Parts: sequence; C-alpha cells; structure tokens
Amino acid sequence: MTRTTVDLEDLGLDEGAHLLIKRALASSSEILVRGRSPALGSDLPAWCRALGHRCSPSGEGFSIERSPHDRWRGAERAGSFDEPADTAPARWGLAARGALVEAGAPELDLPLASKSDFWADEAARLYAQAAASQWDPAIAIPWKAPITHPEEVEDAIVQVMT
Amino acid sequence: MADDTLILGAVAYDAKVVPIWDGFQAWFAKRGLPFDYVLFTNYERQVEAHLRGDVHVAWNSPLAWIQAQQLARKHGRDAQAIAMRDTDRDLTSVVLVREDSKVSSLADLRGKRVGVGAADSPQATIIPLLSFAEAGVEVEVVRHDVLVGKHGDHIGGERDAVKALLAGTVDAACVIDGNRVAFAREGLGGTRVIHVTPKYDHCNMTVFDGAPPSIARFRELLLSMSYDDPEVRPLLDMEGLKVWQPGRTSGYAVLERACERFGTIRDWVAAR
Repeated sequence: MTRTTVDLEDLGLDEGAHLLIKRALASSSEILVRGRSPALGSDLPAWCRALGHRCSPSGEGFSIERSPHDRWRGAERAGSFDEPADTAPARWGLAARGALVEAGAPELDLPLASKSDFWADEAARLYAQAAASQWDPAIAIPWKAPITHPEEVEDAIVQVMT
Repeated sequence: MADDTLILGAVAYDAKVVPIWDGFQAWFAKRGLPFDYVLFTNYERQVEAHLRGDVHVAWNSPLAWIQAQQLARKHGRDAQAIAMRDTDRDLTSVVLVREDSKVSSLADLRGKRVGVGAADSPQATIIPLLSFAEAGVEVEVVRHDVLVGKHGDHIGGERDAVKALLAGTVDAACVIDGNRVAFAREGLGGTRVIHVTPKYDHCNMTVFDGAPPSIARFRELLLSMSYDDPEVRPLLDMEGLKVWQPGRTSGYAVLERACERFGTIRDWVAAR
C-alpha cells in the first residue's frame, strides 16, 4: 500500500507543520513526512514521542506510525444541538449541547439537570419580547444636553456611575 | 498485623505530583495493592532514603538513577530499573542559537557564552556540556539554577536559558528537544538548532535488592495501565506518558560518561 506523504517544504513544527501531520494521521495510520526545516530531525521525533506516535528515519524523511492511544475512545455527544435532552448526565459537565465530551471527565454536582425543572420552550420568545420593550439608551438619554456643573463634579459623577 | 503497604518516593517538582500520586494510589487500591507515597524536595535525599529502606521504590530522574546505582554498588547492593514511561526513551537535547546568528556548529561557540539549565539538569546542562567537552570546545557556561535538587524536572532553568538567548545575553542555549517547539508556542521562538546530542533515556522506577514482593504486582499494574481507560488517562496525561514500559538501562551511557568526565556526583557518592 502506498503511504501518504506529507511534504512540509520548509515549514517547521514551530510554524504549524504539526497541523498538516495531524491531518494526515487522521486518515492514514502510517505516513511519510519530508521537509527542509533544519530542526525537523529533532523537533519531529520529540513531537511524536509526546503523542505516542512511532517515528523512524526513512529514506529522505521520517516514517510515522500513528499512536494506538486515542483519548476520544468512549467519548459521547452531550445530547443534540437542536433540542435539549430531558436529563443531562453529570458526566457531561458544562459541555455545550452537542459537544463531544471525553470519557472520564469529573462528574460535577449540578442539581439542575432535568429539563422539566427549569426549561421553558417559550424562553426565547419571552427574551425577545423583553429585549424589544427595553428602553433604548441612545434615545432615552439627552446626550447633547449641555454640562453646566463644574468639571470636578462631572468627574465625581463619572467615577460613581462607572 | 504487618503493614504490607508499598511505599514510593517521588520528588515534588510541581504541585501536580499530589493529585498524580493520590490518583494512582486510589487506582492501585481498587486493584488490591496497598500503596502510599512520600514526597521529597530533592532527589539526593530520596536516593538516601531509598537505600536506607524508608521507601521501597523510587521514581528517579536519570541522574538519581545513576546516583542510586553507584551508591548501591559501593554498599554491595543491587539497583534495578523496573519500569519507565514511553516518553522516557530515546530523548535528545539540542543546542540552540538565534535564527539570525552566524553560528553553525559547536566549534563556532568557542569562547562564547552558552546558557544551560540548572546545574543538575541532565537534559539541559550535563549532557549538552558533554557534547562541547567531547568536541574540544571550551565555552563560558551560564547556568540558570532554578530549583536545584530537582534535576531539571521543573524546566524553568531551560526557559530562562532561551530567554537569555533571545535577549542576547548568551550566544547559545541548551534545552531538551521537545522544548524548542514548546517554548516557541509560548512566544520564545526564533531559534535554530546547531547540534543534537546522542539519544538518552530519562526517568525510571528504581528498586534495590530486598524490595518487598508487592513490587512485582506494582510493576504489573503499571504496565497494564491503558490510555483508553478514562479513569487512569488523566493521571497519565499529568505524568506525561501514554503507556508505561519495562525499565531498561541501555540508555544511560551518555549521562554516565558525562558524570565520569565532570565528576558530577563523585563527591556526593564518596561522602556516603
């Protein structure tokens, strides 16, 4: 089988080359990496070592075998983006709806975890209604009114109000 | 009733060592291995305590391994490396210069200032300086003695050496291979590699002869840990490995040669 080859040209691992290697390894378990970056010979084996990939010289480049260790094994989606789940298990933590949650995350104590306790389908409509009837500071406040009090008083008001 | 708890010694190079070993302790307990740990501020005291029998197994730096080995030999004892991380094998260190430097070899640094890590850091000081010595290149060594006693575990000294390089106060800096890119991501980029040391191994789990029988179960459990196991993965991430490997001693020749040449631990061993 022909291995996927990644030609980094002169891009170094300190310049983002690892993203190209990572993308290639996502679809191929073994790849060949070539490049002209002078530090590739020390940067690449160190990068591979930290991630558990096997790296060995091969011809004019390096052969990389993808690590068998995958932190996403056993990961699950925190429900669906479209619709809130009836109950959110503690293992989802504070993940956004539909996010991929790694297995083994600490289980937080979150008492409000059932949709029926606090969710209202019309919450969005209520919010829009409230926002629409909120006063508009651009209109409600006479910004062009002249300031007739001393500057020191203005400074004090600004400080108190902010 | 005799206490059959296996005691491990580890050096507190970072606050995270507490959750690491608390976590491993709980994991071992679930699998029937009574386990506890003792923290030391420095490897030298750990090696002494280990030989004395205060702990049964020591999580040793490479320099501490050599100290343990030489001290054991001196006292008619035997030291073994029973396990190590996958990330403890086949490391290299690099000598860096600024990208725009005219330096292209060790020889070009003759008489110049070379930033290294802490005095007792194998990766950022002892092994790189061996490269200079064996090449016959004398340099002015500028040490960055951060947390001496922890054998460079903290990497603060390496970071300071690179900062000094970029500030122009030294002409080269020595770091472990992976830290060139790691420091670049922190904004300390703009360096070029002019030398790569021979490969060497790093930390290991050291035992002396006379270790309790539960050591075998400890080793078995270590080697059985899987990165796929969500219970143990956070601990492996914190300790910086994907999998534990059997210990080997074939990767310490470079550091042994350096210690012999510089007399790094000669006085320490002689005094014990």
